[in-house]
Amino acid sequence: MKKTLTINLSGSIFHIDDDAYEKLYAYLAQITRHFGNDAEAKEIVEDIETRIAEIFTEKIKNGGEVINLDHVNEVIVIMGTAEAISNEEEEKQHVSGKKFYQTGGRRLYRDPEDRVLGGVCSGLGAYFSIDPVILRILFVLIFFIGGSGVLVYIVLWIIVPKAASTSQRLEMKGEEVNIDNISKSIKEEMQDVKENFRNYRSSPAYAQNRNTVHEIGNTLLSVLKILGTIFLVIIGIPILFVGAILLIVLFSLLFASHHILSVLPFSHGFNVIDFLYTPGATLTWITIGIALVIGIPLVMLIYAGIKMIFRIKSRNHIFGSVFAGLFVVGLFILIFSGSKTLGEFSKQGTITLHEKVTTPSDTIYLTATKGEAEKELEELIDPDLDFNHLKVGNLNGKGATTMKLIW
Amino acid sequence: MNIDNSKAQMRKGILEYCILLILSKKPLYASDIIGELKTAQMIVVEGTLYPLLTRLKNDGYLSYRWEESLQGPPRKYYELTPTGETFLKELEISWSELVDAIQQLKK
Repeated sequence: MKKTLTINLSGSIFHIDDDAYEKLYAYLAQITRHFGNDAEAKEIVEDIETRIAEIFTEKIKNGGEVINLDHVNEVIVIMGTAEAISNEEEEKQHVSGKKFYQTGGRRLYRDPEDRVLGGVCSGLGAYFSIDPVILRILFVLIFFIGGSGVLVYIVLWIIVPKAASTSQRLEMKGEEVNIDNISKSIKEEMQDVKENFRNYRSSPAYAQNRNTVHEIGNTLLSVLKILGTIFLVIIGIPILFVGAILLIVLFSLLFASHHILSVLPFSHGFNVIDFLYTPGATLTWITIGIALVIGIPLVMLIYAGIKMIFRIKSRNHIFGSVFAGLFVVGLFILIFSGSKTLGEFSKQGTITLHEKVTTPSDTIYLTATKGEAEKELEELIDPDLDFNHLKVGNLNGKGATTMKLIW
Repeated sequence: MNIDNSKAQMRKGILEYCILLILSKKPLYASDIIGELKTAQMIVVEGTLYPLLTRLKNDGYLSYRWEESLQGPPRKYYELTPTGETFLKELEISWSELVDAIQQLKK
């Protein structure tokens, strides 16, 4: 027994098995991705859907009322997968100045066929037309210099999609991204806007409300698309750079100094840690907490930047939720260990020293020898410090009159 | 460089010419064109034809009209426009030039 669904394929209604539907849906999605999403591509996909509907109608007449997986597989063989179509299609150069199915130019992918780890370097190499070996050497160098290379690599590995299908591999190596091509694609978009507008003016749809709304929508969409593309790149680059720099700063602070608190700017250069009775383990936890709470938003910032610049469409939900989870964990770590450390500040200590001195004079001179400890003390003690709290209880049986501290 | 690829490249080059040639006889809809191209072993998968038809139409060489069909959805019948006919004539000239050139080389 199987569940069936009812679908409307280019105006014809079909009952289709659940698994057959999944397969057909995936196929049409693949085809749509292959042709892109401009007006021309939409028409092609509509034609293909119409043809599929026709084939289904024939199949049903030959017996059976429900479209099953075999029917869908047959249709895919007849129509051809996106790979088969792109293999048979004409070369792009034949197209006389008019753009065809490939609208977006080059896209950033990971290359699974030329990889050492995740194929990030070979993908970046294809995108920027650089030999991946150079990029690999760069990554290794960054790793030995600051260690942040690993992080950048892992982030790219997670967010950059793998070039799985032939069309994605084509996109990966597609038209070079340079000023010429960017301005060309902007011009093409402008042309689309003009065409849309002209179509809207001249078409009979002008009178038909529904179509008019649709056309205006299309025109607006094209305008927004241009603005969006420019906006995303302009905004994306600074976001990426600020995010990356802040992340590198954060991590060098965390790892270069043994504890984050020791780099916080306290006056006179002394270390606040010396004054805390905080066990090292707690400080390690605070370091981890800070790394998570500040680091994760920065990683997300870099993620957003890369997505904007390279127009990566895929949304990785696992990535998002894992990082949100880590952020919350970091927050809890900070709250717990922070409150523990803050508790230390409430403790007070008193040192009482009893020393018996025999002197004929009325005045006692205290001379401190300047060892390391004294130097630190000197830096620590305010020159105007009042020594009233130093008390000499008894001097030669009488009360002391003067007390001086000589450095 | 493998032989199948070279053959495919050759076929790709004249696919447009073939489509225009088929349509110059009478208006047809996609399925009929596919049938003829498949018999002539010009294409393997049908998906290849639709982008070509759409492009030829958008470039002004073809036009189409809708016709109701007894089975299934209405069909797009494609036919050559006057521009398409001129284009076809030019392609025919260049095709016979190619054939001549090959004949010349074979001598």
